[in-house]
Amino acid sequence: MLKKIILIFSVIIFCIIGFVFSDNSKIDFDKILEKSELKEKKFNKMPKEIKTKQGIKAWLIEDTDIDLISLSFSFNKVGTAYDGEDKKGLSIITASMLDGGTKSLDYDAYHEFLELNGISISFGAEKDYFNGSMTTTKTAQKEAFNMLKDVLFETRLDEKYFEIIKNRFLVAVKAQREKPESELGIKFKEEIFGNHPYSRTLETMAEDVKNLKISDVKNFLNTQLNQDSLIIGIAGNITENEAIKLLDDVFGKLPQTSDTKTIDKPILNLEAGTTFIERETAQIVSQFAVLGTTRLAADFYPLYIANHIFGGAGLTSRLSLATREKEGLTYGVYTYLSTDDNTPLILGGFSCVPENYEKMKTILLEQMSLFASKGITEKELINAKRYLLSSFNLRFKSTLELASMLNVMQKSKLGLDFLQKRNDYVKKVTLREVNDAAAKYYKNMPKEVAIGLIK
Amino acid sequence: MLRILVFVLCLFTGIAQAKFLNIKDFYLDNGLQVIVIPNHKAPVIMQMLWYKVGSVDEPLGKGGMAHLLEHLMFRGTNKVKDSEFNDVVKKYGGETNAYTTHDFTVYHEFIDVSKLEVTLALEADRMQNLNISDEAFETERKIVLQERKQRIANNPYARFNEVVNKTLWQDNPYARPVSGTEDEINSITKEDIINFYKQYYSPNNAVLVLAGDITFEQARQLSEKYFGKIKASKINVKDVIVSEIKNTSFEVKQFMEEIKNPRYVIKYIVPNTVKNPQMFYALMLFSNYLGETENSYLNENLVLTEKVISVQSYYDGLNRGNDTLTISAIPNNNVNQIDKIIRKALEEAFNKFDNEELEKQKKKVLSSLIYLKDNPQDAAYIVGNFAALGLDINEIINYDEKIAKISLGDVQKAFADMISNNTVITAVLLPNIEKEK
Repeated sequence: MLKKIILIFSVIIFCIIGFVFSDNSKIDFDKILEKSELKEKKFNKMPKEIKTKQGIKAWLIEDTDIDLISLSFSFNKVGTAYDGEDKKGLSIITASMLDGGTKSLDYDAYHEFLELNGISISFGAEKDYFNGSMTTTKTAQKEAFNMLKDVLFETRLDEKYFEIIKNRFLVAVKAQREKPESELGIKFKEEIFGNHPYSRTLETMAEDVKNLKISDVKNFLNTQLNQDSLIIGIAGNITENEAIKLLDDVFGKLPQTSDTKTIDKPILNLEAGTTFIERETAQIVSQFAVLGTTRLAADFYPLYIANHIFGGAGLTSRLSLATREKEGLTYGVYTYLSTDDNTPLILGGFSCVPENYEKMKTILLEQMSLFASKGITEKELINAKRYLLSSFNLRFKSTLELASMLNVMQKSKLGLDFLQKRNDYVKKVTLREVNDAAAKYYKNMPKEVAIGLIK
Repeated sequence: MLRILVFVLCLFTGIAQAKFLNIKDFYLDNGLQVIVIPNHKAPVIMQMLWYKVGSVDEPLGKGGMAHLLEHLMFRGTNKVKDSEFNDVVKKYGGETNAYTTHDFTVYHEFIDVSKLEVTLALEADRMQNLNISDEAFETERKIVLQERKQRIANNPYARFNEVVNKTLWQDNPYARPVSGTEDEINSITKEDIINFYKQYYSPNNAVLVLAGDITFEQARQLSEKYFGKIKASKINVKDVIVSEIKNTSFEVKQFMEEIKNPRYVIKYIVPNTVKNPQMFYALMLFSNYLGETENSYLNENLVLTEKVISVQSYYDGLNRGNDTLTISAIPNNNVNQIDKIIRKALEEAFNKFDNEELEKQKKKVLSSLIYLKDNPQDAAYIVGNFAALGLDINEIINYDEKIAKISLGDVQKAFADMISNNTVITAVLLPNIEKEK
């Protein structure tokens, strides 16, 4: 009998212990990390500025861990917004022509050379910049830089290839009207930027592109690219001396300066309200914007944190929690910042079936208003900072990304010591500063453009 | 997610070379395969958990279960409630996401290596303790329906692609969309999901990949610490039906109002490569030559001669079932001749593929392998796919040698098998205006 009692008693105790220490106990992640052998490390490869004999400046991160080299370069004020009023699209067409080979290697021979040697070279134009990038193996370093020089200065300007590219451009123009979100993108630019060159789309460039001559491309290459507007980021297994020599060899031929063009500062049309493009679609797609701040403004970091909490943090943002996680109204909703001097904007978007649209909009506006009036909690600030600090190392994952980061740091004038100081900038932000930014920027009703039909 | 997949698939031509990738694998007692790819360039790590289950494993009429379960895996366990999973990963600076394919369900976290134990603990927890509320289930169903509307219904090319696959694959599970249809998504119950989870989510049906700033020994200790106590379960993973359709040619012509430029696709079903990896290397090299790069046969002979606006080939070669080889093109005002043009070019491309060309393709692929050493995320994707398919780790470790050994005869045989099997679809997507003509 006694044995039986003890047995029952033991079973009860076991159950209680089992219950207390069962799988339902929470995991203490901080405690796990306290004991973890994997300690925090700083990414310790820091950039330095190098200057070539011919005066070309570049930012370099030397990384001997891998036999690759990446180069990311840009010419400032040479993008699509700077193309002449009757030469719209010239920068994009020129970027494609640079893919066509060199005087001594035709399209096929040029691309065969790159592929056999594990080299990639590419060009592109955005509104304010003409960009190029190159990645090469250490073994093919010399040949790669030589080839880049030939592409830029001995460009193959083949008439037939020129027509092929123009034709492809015109097909791409038509394709923009096929998917609702790309059609929306065209209208959104027009609405925000009006007649300013920033409103240019493939469609508004099309007529000019049809009339472009190969001499326009030649002229662009001869007059638009110069040393003063050149920004270079370089990363990988290359020493300072090697880089100096190779950069001089490639870019040393460029003229020091050429006629710098200017464009007017755009007047952003952010008047609250919605413009609808009526089209039968399965989902309504929406893009919206309110005024934001610039990268070097005093309230950049407060707004950066505010936006992370409001709509920038993916599924954990306030906006996503309120519309997606709680209500299931949408698959995706987001906001992000544009912080160029000319385009300080908080931008966002979502898509949902027509019957969810009004509710989505109501929640979006409620959330903005609540964010502006009540601000964020201390806990939200702590978590946002933890994310921004802990995720910092993720940006160093590949050589190409290192090079383009160095390029962007220069475009945004962040300073050579940015990588050392950035986490301090984040740490210093106070609750009050974030709430001031929230109050200032989220109180405005957004300008919205949407595509679909409300049912 | 799709973007990442496309990116990964594009990287097929640059697969791991162990000599510089330094891969090791081991198994825990419960059957979990762990693959470690050390990369000490930056203090970060990519953690991927591949479950060898996808939409092909769903019962008929319950399409979308694997995908809905993938979503629900972010919706709470006994220990990490509701949507805390995302909060925790975010708080420690990580990025997390997941995706489902016909064959696999994959969860991944990219995080500072000093926080790796957080994501290991989270992933091990949800392998065994999923506990979702009825409310979360219903909300997530709504989200998945919205996702289908966004990705498929609102995208003309995706709708076209669904029609192509449905026609080509007929009764094969690859015919069905991974997301399931709307009716199917609405018919799934929470019990269906729980049963599917219990049936397939187990250490012996998964591969853990750790690529980043970690040593083999650390990886061994930590994977044992977090996953070692999870019990193996009886898994009965079915073989995907390897297509027995032969000599069946399909033609599809689809009209859509929003289409402005006609599109053309030809897609061949080719034999499965799991049991015959030789075939994989041979067709991968051939497709690289055919139309996967700027310097491809099709680009040179069709784009530069203005027969098409653009053309690409794509070899989808690491599936549990049959693989496919696809050529897609935008015609140049010649949609009525496009099928003839492409088929003729394919035949000519094959006839001109000789030893010299084969060696060139090998050199191109081999010279790009070094890029996998750069980004730990890319390496994790590729190696994970090989392993989840059940291929021996040595297939990855000796990848460069395997490629080097491919002979012209291997490529000729692979191509001949593809053509003689003759299971192929040609499809055109046209503007409505063409219909009216």
